[in-house]
Amino acid sequence: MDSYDKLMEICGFEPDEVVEYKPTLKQGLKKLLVTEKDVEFAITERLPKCWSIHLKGIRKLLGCWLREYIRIAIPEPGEARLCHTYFVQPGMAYLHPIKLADPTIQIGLPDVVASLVGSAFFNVGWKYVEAAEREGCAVEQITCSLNKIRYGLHVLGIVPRADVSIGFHTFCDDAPLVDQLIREWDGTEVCNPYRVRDIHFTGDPFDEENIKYFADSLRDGHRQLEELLDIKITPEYQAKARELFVNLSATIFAPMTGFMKADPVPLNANDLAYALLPVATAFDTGYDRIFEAEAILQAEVTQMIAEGKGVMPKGTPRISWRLLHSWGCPWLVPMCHELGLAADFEEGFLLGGGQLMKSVEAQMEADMYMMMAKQLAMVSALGTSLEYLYKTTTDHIAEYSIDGLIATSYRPCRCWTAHSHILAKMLSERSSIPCITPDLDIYIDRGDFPQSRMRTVLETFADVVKRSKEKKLKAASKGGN
Amino acid sequence: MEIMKQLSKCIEQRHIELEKMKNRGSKVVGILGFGYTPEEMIFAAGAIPQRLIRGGDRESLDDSREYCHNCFSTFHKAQIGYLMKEKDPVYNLIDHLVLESGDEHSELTGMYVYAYKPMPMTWLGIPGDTEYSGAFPYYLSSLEKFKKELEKLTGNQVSQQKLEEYAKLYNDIRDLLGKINDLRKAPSPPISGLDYVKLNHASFYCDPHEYLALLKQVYEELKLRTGVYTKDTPRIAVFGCPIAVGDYRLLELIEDAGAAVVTEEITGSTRDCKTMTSIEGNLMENLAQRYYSKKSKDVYKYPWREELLSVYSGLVDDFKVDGVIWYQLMYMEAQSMLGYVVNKRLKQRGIPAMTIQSEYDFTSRIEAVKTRIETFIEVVKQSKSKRGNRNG
Repeated sequence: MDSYDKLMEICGFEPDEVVEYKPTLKQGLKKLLVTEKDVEFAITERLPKCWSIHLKGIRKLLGCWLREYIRIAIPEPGEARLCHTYFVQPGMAYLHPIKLADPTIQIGLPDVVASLVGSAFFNVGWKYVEAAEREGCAVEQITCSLNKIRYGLHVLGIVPRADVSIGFHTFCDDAPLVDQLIREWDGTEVCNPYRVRDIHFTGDPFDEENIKYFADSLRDGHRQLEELLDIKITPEYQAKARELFVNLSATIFAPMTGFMKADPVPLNANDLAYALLPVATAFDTGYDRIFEAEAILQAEVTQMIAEGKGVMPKGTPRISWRLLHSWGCPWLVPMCHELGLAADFEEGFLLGGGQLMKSVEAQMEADMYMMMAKQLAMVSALGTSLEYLYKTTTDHIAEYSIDGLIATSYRPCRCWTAHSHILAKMLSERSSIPCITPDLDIYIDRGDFPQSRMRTVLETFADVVKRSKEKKLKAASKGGN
Repeated sequence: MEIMKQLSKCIEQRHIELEKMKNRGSKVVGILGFGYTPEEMIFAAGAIPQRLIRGGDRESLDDSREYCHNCFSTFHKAQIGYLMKEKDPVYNLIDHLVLESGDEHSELTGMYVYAYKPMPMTWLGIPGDTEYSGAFPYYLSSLEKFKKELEKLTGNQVSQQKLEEYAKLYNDIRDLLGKINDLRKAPSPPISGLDYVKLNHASFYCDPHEYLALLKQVYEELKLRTGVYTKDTPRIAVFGCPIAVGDYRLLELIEDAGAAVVTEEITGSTRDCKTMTSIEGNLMENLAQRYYSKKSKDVYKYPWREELLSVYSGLVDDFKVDGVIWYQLMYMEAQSMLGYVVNKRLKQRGIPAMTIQSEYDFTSRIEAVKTRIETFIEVVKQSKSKRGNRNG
């Protein structure tokens, strides 16, 4: 058994699949600049230490992501055209109708997938980033590494010139900007659905005029894609995509988020991200394997909860990451565990009651584009009102019994960082929840943010959170007496 | 020119004028953005517009550190520094702030203000997808909302008559600035780049009536003036990030190195004088059209089309430019990416181009910056003599 066999074993491939898939895997990894040494690193360091690979469901999910990673470099033989997109929002409901309109179009999210797999499993994300930095994403100007990954994959010729790249102007400027560089580089046509970010600091995130504009822009984007890809996105395909989205939400999102309320918590933050992101992400390799893996995982987790098992002992302080944890640096999760923190919660996924209500409200929208626009506006993380951000964060803290928040300060993303800092200020002024804003890269692990420094920061934070929790417990027991 | 001294004085004493006007009951409306807020509307409501466009000093950046992350646009960090620390008397006099959406730095600056020093604010929604049919109506609707807020702020109606009065006044200002700018196309421009930018910047600070009167004098004087450069002087264009009021070191260094700055395109930090407001019909709509028309040539417009990129090559042709310096403020990533594309294309045309980065820190590395600029000017001179004198 060589390292590639071992990799596939860890990633839940069945023996017959190993034989069948190995040549594609090796060819794909080579093209993606993943060396045998990188594979060794993944199978000895990253995967066993950072994910709950004793769970078959997790292994199978990792396999789904690995296949998706290979697919961005090696399209299926029948895939005649490529449609790439940035990030996961507004996600699969927008992209799946394109695949339904013509299955020979590859729908890929090269940046997300290359970060979630290339960076997280093999730590090669920096190779794509450095290629982008050589060709227009000046390193000293600091641009989001997720976008640099997307551009770098083009610069390196890893992904073929796409027929169209969709860079949503929703949260930040970097996505549409990097698309312009991709267009300049290899002529990839770009489509930039646009949200005007005149978002008030207080009040409801569903500002009627703003939401309608974004919904119409998304609709217009589909019209452009119809022209560019010579397809017809019919109401029937839209309805099917919506059906799939609702199905994914109901059968994956709802139960998995429910499991995370258990103490001890059954899954770690890495497990959770890879289990939940398929709800939002368009999988070119299909959803059958995802549903299968999720069903296995849910059965396993149900069993764990029944037996009182978890990733950390019951009563361990529960830490949440604002928006998302740093999936490019998965070592953070075991590091937190070593320090006695169950840093396994993500505010971006684990919605509080108010946000869930908003999500349901959005899903009731008859118009698919309005639904997507609303879904995006209620994502507390970015692009919404500051007071709503504060409200949803505190809802999440209450709902999941969170003892401390890590609001990552991700330097290359100004809006992420600004929101984190402002939220930390609001929390310190209005609540007793400890909150830190450490500098971290979310998408790659290049060493710009060293592990030793993070350990020092987290050690101090662990002390503060533990003392804060003790104090809360004492106060509660006094109140009880 | 003596008038330049008067204009500098006007900038220096702006806070005194504003205080006088405030004492008479006027409201001061600060504008944070890159030129999509019609000042005509603010005047028509009886308030005073004030572009927030000071910069160039390190102190404001140091002041901003308490509030925002370092990796944030240099220009916007400076605005945060001035707004929060109250060291600039003009910034202290603002009653209401207008935030232009469209670039994340301006938007986040608004958030920092909300979090640390809340004040009445208005968002102007400025869609960057100009090709989309809903884009202009959204901007117009945003201006209509702003008009209502102005009326509430001042208690005055924004009448068609007042809008017309100020639209005409601003058209006259733009017309003259445009004519002065055109004089720079001459083989030996009668005004230096530094003076032109300062002249333009004064329009953000002076009373528009007084400014127009001074501008007329400047134009008459310049028309008769013999150029201040020789025919061999390298003609430089400065493109890129905003050049703030007070951030003049780069222009000085280029001209000290023996070159002439003959044109600039610096992210809305000089007044656009190419498009006029039509006086016929609905003035609100005309103003919206006039202001929104430049969005298609904006770095924050997506997707970039040749219309944007041709702005730079057009200026190079129109002003017979021999070399281009891309002024790159730290952490303004949009300009950085555009600069990469523009410079690459210019080099393909044989036009020397270089990027100079700044975080308002030229003073601390002045010799290195001077050497780079002097070397570049030498390269431009050689390239110019090889290609033959384009001006000849």
